[in-house]
Amino acid sequence: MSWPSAQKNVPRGDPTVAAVLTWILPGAGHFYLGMPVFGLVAFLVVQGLYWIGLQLSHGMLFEYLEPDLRSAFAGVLTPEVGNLGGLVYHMKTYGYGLPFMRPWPDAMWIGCWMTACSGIVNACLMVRAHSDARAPKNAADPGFARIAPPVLAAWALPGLGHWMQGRKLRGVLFFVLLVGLLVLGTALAEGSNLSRERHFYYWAGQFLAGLPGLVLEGLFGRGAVTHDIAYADAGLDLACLAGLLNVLALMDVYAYGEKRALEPQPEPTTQAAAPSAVNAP
Amino acid sequence: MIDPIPHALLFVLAATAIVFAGATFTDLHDGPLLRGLAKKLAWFCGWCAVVCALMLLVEHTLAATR
Repeated sequence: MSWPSAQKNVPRGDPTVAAVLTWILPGAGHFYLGMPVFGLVAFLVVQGLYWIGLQLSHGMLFEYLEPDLRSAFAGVLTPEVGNLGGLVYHMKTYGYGLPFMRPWPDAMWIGCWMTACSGIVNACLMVRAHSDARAPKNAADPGFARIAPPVLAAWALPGLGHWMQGRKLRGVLFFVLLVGLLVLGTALAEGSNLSRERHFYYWAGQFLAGLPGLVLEGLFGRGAVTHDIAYADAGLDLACLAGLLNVLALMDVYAYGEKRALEPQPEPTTQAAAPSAVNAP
Repeated sequence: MIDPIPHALLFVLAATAIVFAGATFTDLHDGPLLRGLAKKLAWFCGWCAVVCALMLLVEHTLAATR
């Protein structure tokens, strides 16, 4: 679709404002950009994930922390920080719990997954809001709208974002190296690395490697440690490294998507030729 | 007692992932990325060895307890 040149370069809003609003309150950035339906759906999905997670975990997540690690900023290095509004509500409402020990809820680990997923999804929503703010007004299918989905995919499965962008060799290499590190680390640590209760912040690092870590945790991560594990520390380091390196992969996917969106596109000669000119892999 | 060979192998594996993830930002095309990977890995391991030697030197001199 072709728009008059006066409208082509008029962005929908300030990208920083849109991203910060989304960080504080999921969906708010899209309300600001005049996309209320998208904003409402995003709010329901992201806050719904956090709310269900809180119900399942009884808000006890931060009780995993040792007393000397408990501070006002303890949540900053958790995936939940991607949903700042949810995290602040969580800390204000539940904090570090009661001053005595009590059993964890049965679905504690699933609740923790959901609050963490809420943070990651909202971080991708911030990317989406930042991109949408720079897209020209009234554009039906701007290239910017295609930046965020591969970023989310790259978190969910290392390499998948590159694959979606047509960079299949890199995608395969990222998958083999990062998922390989994660699996090898888990094997060396015999699954002991995957407990959020045991390794609160290392778990956050591993969570950045996406769904493979969650699958491994579901399969091997909740058993009791009954003997000395020779390579427990090495395994923990390798698995955490996989998640941290996936952040570089996410940045690469984002940068590539943005570069493609900003490339000057040739003037479409027909109405049908317009949408695929920029975004074809 | 630390087993040096398994530790060295794990280090090379981690180094490969680190170097590859870093190289994706410098080499935009797959061909140069793959061709330059071995050289980058060698440089990375070499400088890590230098840092390791320095740390051992400091540990056995300044931080030695006996």
